[in-house]
Amino acid sequence: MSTPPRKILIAMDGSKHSDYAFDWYVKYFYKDKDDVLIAYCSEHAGLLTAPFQAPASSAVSRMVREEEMDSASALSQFQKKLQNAGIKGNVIRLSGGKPGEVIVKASEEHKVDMIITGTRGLGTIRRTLMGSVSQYVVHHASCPVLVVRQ
Amino acid sequence: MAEAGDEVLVLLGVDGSEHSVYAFDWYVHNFHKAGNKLILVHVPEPATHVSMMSHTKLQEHLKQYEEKIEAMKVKYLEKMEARGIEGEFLRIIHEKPGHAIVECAEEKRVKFVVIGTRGQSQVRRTIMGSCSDYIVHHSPAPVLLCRHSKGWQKEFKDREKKEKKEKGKKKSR
Repeated sequence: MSTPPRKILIAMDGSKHSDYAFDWYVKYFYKDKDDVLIAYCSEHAGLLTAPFQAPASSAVSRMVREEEMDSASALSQFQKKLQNAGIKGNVIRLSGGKPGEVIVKASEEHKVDMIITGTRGLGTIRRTLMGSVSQYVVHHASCPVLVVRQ
Repeated sequence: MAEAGDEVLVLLGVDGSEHSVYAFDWYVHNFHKAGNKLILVHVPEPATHVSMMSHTKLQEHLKQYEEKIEAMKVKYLEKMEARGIEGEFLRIIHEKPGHAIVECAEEKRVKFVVIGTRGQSQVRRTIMGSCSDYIVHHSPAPVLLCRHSKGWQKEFKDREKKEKKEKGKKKSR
């Protein structure tokens, strides 16, 4: 009995935590014919949408410029990762909200079979203050979630 | 040729609920890779009302409890055998199931842990059970959390019915 190819969303923000999650997936979880969707959500995305932070406009435009540069290099890096691992897949960029929310939304839109996230290993208090993406995804996803802790 | 240490150990937390059976089936159907060895861990809920029972009632209660666990063990071992999966079923006595599973995962150096999101507690106080929550935050290894959309129970029952039918067909041949 052959199972249909799995569609897998890997949330990556360009940090070494998500790189680790990707590598772990390739080493221990990858199955031939997996269709991988790397969802890139930059680390800055959350900061720029936070309403209570209103930095000076020059600082904002600098942050936006930096984010564009980081994003461009991250996106091409992810494409290379897929190619090097010989994995069929795509890279998409998510924005327009908090990372956890856009990831869950994307997973539903693309009807993925599973979401993979890394963790930053935050303690309970920091998770509450800074918000944890993996925490949100784990509580709100409508499909299985693999949380890759180091 | 496989070297020692190549073996991928997967820990699957099971309680008596349908959630666990579904998580097991889901794992086997979608995530299992040949060569993975399963360790099914069951942590029985501590019986809190025991002290108020009479001796005979207590004996009866324990007997039923043991039978239930034994039946669960047989069921899972059969499922694994039917699919050619190597695995064992462990029962760990511990006050806190979440802690027990994390400790077992550390001890056995499993590659990853598979759990459902909600167990036997019928009360939906939170979005996710406290045991699963604890494991996700403290596990030494990656955790595969089997969350499902609202339609899962129906899909699960349909699949069970189908499997029973096929089993019945095989026997009658």
